[in-house]
Amino acid sequence: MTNEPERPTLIEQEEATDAGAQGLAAADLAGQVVRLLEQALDASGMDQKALADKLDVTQGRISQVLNGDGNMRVAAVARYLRALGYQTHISAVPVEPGRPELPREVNRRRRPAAKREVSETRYVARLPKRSREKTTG
Amino acid sequence: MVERRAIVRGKCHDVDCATRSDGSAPGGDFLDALKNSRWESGEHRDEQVDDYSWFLNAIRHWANTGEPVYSSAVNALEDGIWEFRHGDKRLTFYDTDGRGGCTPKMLIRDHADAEVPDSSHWQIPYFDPLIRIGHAFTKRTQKTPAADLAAAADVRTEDLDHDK
Repeated sequence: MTNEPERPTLIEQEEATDAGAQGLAAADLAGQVVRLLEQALDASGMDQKALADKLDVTQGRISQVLNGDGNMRVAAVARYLRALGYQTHISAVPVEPGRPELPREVNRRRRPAAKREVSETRYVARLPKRSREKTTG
Repeated sequence: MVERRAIVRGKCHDVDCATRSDGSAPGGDFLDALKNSRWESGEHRDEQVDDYSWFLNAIRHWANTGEPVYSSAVNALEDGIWEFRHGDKRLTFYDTDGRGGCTPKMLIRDHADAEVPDSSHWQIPYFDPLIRIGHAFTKRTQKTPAADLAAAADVRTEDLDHDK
């Protein structure tokens, strides 16, 4: 009896090509958007009418978005989530070796105060003090 | 033993294409057709979610979580047959114990009966580890056509017979 290797699954076949991996990534992110909107709506306690009023769009539009595939414009995602009480963040997880997690966070501290001493590269003209003329009147 | 086309091996479920008694796999044929026609039309491909990717991702999400990618992506039909839904396209599925058995999983109506009460998809019960993709159709009317419900049931019967 021979142990033949299992044929790759359809998902494995797709992930093995650029077009396939990108298509799955697009579908996955779009799905995450709808899932997030559903959860935010639920957590907010708002109904679709209240959300429509807050966004100044029709209830039909809200229904269209919530029943859509999530392939919305970035601005719309941010607006909808903000209207539901959330700020949206975006991040990227590496799936290929050698890539760092993004965004890279740089911990810059507050700019240090400028030094007061005179350095060699900094010339400050020192003029002799002029004596004030006393005015008499 | 029939060899089925594998779609995904997930954390919760393995998903394969159901195979009819004549050896055909209608769910697999549907996915192939979507794949072959995915860029026949439309501009700005870089902005689109094509149907093939949508269905594969929805199936992968179910395989990894036992839940729909979002609420409207999955719907219960009847007698333990469910469907993935995207636009007017439908792809039915069901679960099995792998020995030709199938205990129909029905939508839970009362939260007190929920198997996963903390989930926002508490109406969906636990499915058996093996999922089979069955019949595909286009839905153009409010109600699911009786012929498609019957076809979905027939595919399941013929597919499970291979395992008995």
